[in-house]
Parts: sequence; structure tokens; C-alpha cells
Amino acid sequence: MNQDHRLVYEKIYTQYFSMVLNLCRGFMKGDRDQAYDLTQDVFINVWNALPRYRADASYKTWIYRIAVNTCLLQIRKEKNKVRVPLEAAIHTTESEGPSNSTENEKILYKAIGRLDEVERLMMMMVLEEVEYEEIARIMGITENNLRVKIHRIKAKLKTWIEDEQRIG
Amino acid sequence: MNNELDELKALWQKAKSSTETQPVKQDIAALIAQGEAKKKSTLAAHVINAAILSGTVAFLVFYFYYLYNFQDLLSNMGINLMIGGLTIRIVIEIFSAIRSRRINISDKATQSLQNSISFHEFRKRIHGPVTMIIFGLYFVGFYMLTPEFSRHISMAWLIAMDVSALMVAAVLIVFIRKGIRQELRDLEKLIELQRSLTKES
Repeated sequence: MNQDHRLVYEKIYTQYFSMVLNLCRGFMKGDRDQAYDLTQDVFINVWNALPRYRADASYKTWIYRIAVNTCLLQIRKEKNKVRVPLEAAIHTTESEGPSNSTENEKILYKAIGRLDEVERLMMMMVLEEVEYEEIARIMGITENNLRVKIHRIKAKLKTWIEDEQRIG
Repeated sequence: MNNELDELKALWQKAKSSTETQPVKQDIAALIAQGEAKKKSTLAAHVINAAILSGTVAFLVFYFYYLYNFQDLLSNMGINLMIGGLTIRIVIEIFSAIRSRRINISDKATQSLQNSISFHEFRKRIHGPVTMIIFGLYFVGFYMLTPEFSRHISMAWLIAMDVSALMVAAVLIVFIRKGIRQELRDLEKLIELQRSLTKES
């Protein structure tokens, strides 16, 4: 692997780390440790896919595709996987950990966690303000189909969040 | 509905700002190292499988054709069944390695899921009926050697050999069934994801 790839990778990692972590955190229902593990898997896949990047999509779309596929294909979790500890897990600038996360955060993750895997990923991209056209391209479905799905997801989330807030 | 979305986005922005994270550059070297290790280990799994099977075939060829020259037609048919079955399994293993490379993690999700489903369906077939047939041929071949073996070794050894082969077969059946069940679970999950993604609402 040449030095150019390494430089591009560094740039990608710095620029898109938070974006991927947010997607993974939603997918993992707010679990920070699992989200870091998954983010790590995504960036390992990004490194291995980098030589095949053909600039037919922006880096952002390309990385979202890898992130979405990594999340969906996480069906066979390797047991006892030895991991190099991510420094980011230690040096994050998180102002609050999971134990004292905000009430809003808990409610939101709980509601998102009730969605199925595909819905969760779509919703996380919507919340991250990714254009519908781009989400449709990432998922490989029509924009119309996506709009209908998002409409239903929003309705479900609204009901669940209101229920949670009422109980809370 | 747009208001609802705005509310959700506002809620998300608040949640996000409370857990803002920054990447750390030291991670990059570790991730690259893991990426390289992953590439090697994926390839190594297939190479090791093929190497073990090839080693077994080489041993059988050496043992049966050079060291212990079987004379009976039945024995020779048995040897060919054992070696032929394993050779087919080696070819399948190589084909499986090639197919696994078709899954492109940077494809759109529907395509990536479809390729994964095709791969798991292929694996379900080779781990299921194909492996069972090869496995059956191997043990039938092995027992076809018994008549000729009986002329050279004592009955006690012959029984011990046949019974131990039966025990090995039983253990292998358990492992094969476990593998098939895992493949089926993975396949069902992938199909469910694909359905959820593509169904017209």
C-alpha cells in the first residue's frame, strides 16, 4: 500500500470519523462501546476498499455505503475478537458518558432502537441531514420508496417518543 | 410531518452535542495494521482449508498407491471414492474463495446484500448436501477397504479401526450440522434485511 493511500486514509478518517460513529451509535441503539467497535470495523473496511475507490461517488457517499454494509453484514460477530484498543475510546472529548447521558438522548436512542436495522440506518442518515437522493443511492432503492419509508419511520418514532416523554 | 422531523432533528442535535467526539491520529496506524491482518486472515482461512484437504489427499495417494499397494478391485474403487471426494471438496473450496471476493463492501446496500445472500446460499449447498455426499463417499470408500485389510491385520484391529472411523464420522456429522444451522441463520437474517430494504411500502 503506497504512501498516497495512507495520506488519503488519514484525511478520510479525520474528516468522517464522527459521521460514522454517529451512524454506528444509532445502529447500536446508543451503546457507546459497541458503536466504537463497529466504527473500527467500518474504517478497517474503508482501508481495504480504498484501492478500489473510483471517484464515481463522493467520499462521503462511498463511506456511508461501507458503513451501512458493515452494519448490515455484522450478522456473524466474531467471538473473542482481539482488538487493538482505539485511543479515541479513551481520549474522546465526551462531556457525558452513557451512565449520565441526557434524558433526551436516552429517549431518542430507545425509540430508534425499536426500529428494525434498515430503518435505523435510514433514520440516522436523515437525522444527519443526508439528502434523500443520496440515501436512496446508498441503500440502492428508489427515492419514492425511501420517502414512503421515512414517512412511516417518523410517524412511529413520534408516537414512541411521545409515549416515553409521557411516562418519563 | 416536517415539523415532526424538525423536532426529531433538534432532539438528535442535542443528543449529539452531548457526546461530541474527535478522532485521534494514533488510531490510524492500528486500523491500517488490522486492515492488513484482516485481508491476510480471510485469504488464510481458505488457503488453510485447501492445504489441509490437499495434505490429506497427498497422504492417501502416498499411502494407498505407493506404501500399501491394494490389489482388489473393491479396494481400488474405495480409494478412488475417498480421493475423488476430497479432490472435489478442494475445488469447491477454491471456488468458494473466489465467490467470496464478489461481495463488495462499497456497493449500494441492496447489491451488497444480494451478493451476500447468493454467497450464503452457495455455502448452504456446499455445507449441506454436497459436503454430506462427499463425506458419505469418503466413509463408504473407507469401508470398502475392509475386506482387503482383513487379510493383513487381526480381527481385533479391524474392528477397532472400523469402530473408530464410525466415531469420527459421528463427530463430523455434529460439526457439519452445526455449520449448516449457522449458515441457515445467517441466510435468513440477510433475506429479512433485504426484504425490509426493498419492499415497496
